[in-house]
Amino acid sequence: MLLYCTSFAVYLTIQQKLLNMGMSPIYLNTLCYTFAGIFLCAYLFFRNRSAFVIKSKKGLAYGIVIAIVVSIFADMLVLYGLRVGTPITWSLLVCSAPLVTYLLAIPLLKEPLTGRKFLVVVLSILGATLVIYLPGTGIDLKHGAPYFIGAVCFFGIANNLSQLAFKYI
Amino acid sequence: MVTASVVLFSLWPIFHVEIVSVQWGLLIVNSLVILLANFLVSYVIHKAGAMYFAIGTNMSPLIVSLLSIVVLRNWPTWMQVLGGMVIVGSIMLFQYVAKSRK
Repeated sequence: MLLYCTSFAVYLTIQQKLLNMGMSPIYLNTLCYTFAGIFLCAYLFFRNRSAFVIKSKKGLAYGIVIAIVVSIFADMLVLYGLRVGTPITWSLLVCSAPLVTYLLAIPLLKEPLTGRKFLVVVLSILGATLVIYLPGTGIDLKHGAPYFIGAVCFFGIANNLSQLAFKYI
Repeated sequence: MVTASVVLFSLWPIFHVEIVSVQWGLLIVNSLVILLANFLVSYVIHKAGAMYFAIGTNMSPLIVSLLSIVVLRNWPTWMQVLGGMVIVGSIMLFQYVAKSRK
């Protein structure tokens, strides 16, 4: 678990460093996923070639939609946010993704809304507001917060789509 | 075929003038770290369960903040620390409510 959190932190820090060097977010995103795709394809080619066989067309369609939502929309917003904001703001705001997932699951997956869960949602919104609040200036929308909030919403959509995709995969 | 065309299509930025001066080593390390992080998500959920993973991810802002302070010299504001504590606290409460309902 510690290794996961560390790799997440290293990933964010490297991205921030590359963006600080003047690299465009669109190139950074494309190149990172290109190399990741090449490594993964090479690994699967030598270890498990059956992974390339498409077993369910609906599963594939969900996979493509989820990949577009996460890798293109959400990650692009994160990178544009990191260009003007900090990894700290993003790492704090991304913690509210489970709650956005839950809020979206209420209409999409017919999740029940209880009083305690409603309290938790209110607390989380309060926390997110505090993260982007600058004393004396008000809510700081200049340092990447709108991008990060948009990315959290896309992650919430992707999580709900993943839940639906598990019916076919 | 789809994978191959996606990979070939996405290779075009490599030849773009703007990114000639990019640190390729850092970029490749970043790609490997993405794969490692995604692998660890599946591994931890498989070995210890989704609940443990969800609780464990709450410590990621702490590690990101530490690394950000050391490498990028970015310090969190007091409001961010307070807001982060409220978010992490509310997520833990959410997980407690979900667990007690089960």
